[in-house]
Amino acid sequence: MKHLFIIDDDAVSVLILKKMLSNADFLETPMVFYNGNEALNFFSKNYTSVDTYCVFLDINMPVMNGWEFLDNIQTTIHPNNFMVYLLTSSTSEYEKSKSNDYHCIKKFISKPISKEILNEIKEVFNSI
Amino acid sequence: MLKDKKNYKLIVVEDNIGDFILFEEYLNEKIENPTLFHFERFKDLNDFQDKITPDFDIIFLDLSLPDKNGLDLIIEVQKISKQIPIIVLTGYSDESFATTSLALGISDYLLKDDLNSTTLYKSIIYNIERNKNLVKIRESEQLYSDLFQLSPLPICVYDIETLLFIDVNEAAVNLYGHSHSEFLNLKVDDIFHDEEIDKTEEIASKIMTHKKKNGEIIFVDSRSNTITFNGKKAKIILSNDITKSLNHIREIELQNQKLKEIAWKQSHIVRVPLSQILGLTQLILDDKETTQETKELIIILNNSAKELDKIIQEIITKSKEISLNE
Repeated sequence: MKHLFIIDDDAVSVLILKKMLSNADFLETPMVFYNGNEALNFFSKNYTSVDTYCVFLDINMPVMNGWEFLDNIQTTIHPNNFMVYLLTSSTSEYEKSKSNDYHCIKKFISKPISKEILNEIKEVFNSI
Repeated sequence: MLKDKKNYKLIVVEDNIGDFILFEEYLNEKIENPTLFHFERFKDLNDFQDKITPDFDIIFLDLSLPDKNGLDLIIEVQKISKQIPIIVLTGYSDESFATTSLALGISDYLLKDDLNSTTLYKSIIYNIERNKNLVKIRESEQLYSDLFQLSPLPICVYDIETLLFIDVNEAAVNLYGHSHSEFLNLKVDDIFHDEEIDKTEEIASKIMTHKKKNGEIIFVDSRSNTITFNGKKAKIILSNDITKSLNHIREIELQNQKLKEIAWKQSHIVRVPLSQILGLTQLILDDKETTQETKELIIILNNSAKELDKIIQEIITKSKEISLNE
């Protein structure tokens, strides 16, 4: 099974991404969490090593931010079938370089995501 | 024999006319043309005091005048003598008192019975030279005292054994708020605030916290040295108040922190709505139902948003330079 997720507290960002996903013909309907903690609870219960996960993750969120989520989820998931795309309004070099420390992060993307990048992600997602 | 032609200005206070005539004779034997001011009473000398100037060479003083004598006379004359050397004229009967008068600051004494032209002349020359040296020493002492007292840096001296202050300068009084006499009743610990230091050790340069009389805590750059002060082992401690500069640095650090916060907000908060606008304009442009006219307007909106994005990027880049310079 393939699953698509958006973890972002900003409703407008979520709306834009959903619309773009549908424009790009992503077959899956994404599941949305509004902070890291909600997502963490879900994955702790439902993650399986046979499924494939594609996660668009925001960094700045209340309760549990993107980095904290990644720190907590690392022991649960395997980077081979859990692909994280950091999607953030931040353009900070520090965060860009920090994303190299996590194996599951496939790309650091500054919002808004472009059609081209979304298509690349779709290719990868569909090929697995 | 050649007489001394130098113009001596002398004052003689002597009530005995016979003694004065003799004195004048001895003087004239050695000195060509002395300028002599003769007074018979202390009162006459006192009336003359405004005319006494430092260019007078010697004051000769008979110790038994009708209106004043002895110790009292010496003290009163010293008050108006403008540091001109005083030579006491006395008889055998008063020799022991004449000796003690030297301790009071009298330059010399001459026994009238032994007086002759040679001893008188020698005494004049000797005491004039001696006084010149005394003036130099006094000036030198004054200079050292001024260096201490008028130094713009606060300086305190304290006894190593008792830790009591022995002397402080004007700048220390101004800095700490204790008067000079209050300081002399204080120990060095009284100006230290939470300082665990060996008070007998010399300090090269150390930032310490001191406390003022009003309880205010100040930061000082402190140095100290061991000296001998009036025969006692003492420490001289120099305290440069750097509270203002430290506070200034803290303020700048705080401002820097705020600047970084602003930069962080630029990169995270301001960019959120901007990325939304950029995303939304893209969606509208991609929509097949969007008319050509709307598209043109949206492209302009998109360009404006991109321009704003560029400005934010510049701010973020500049703020990175602040962090790197730290």
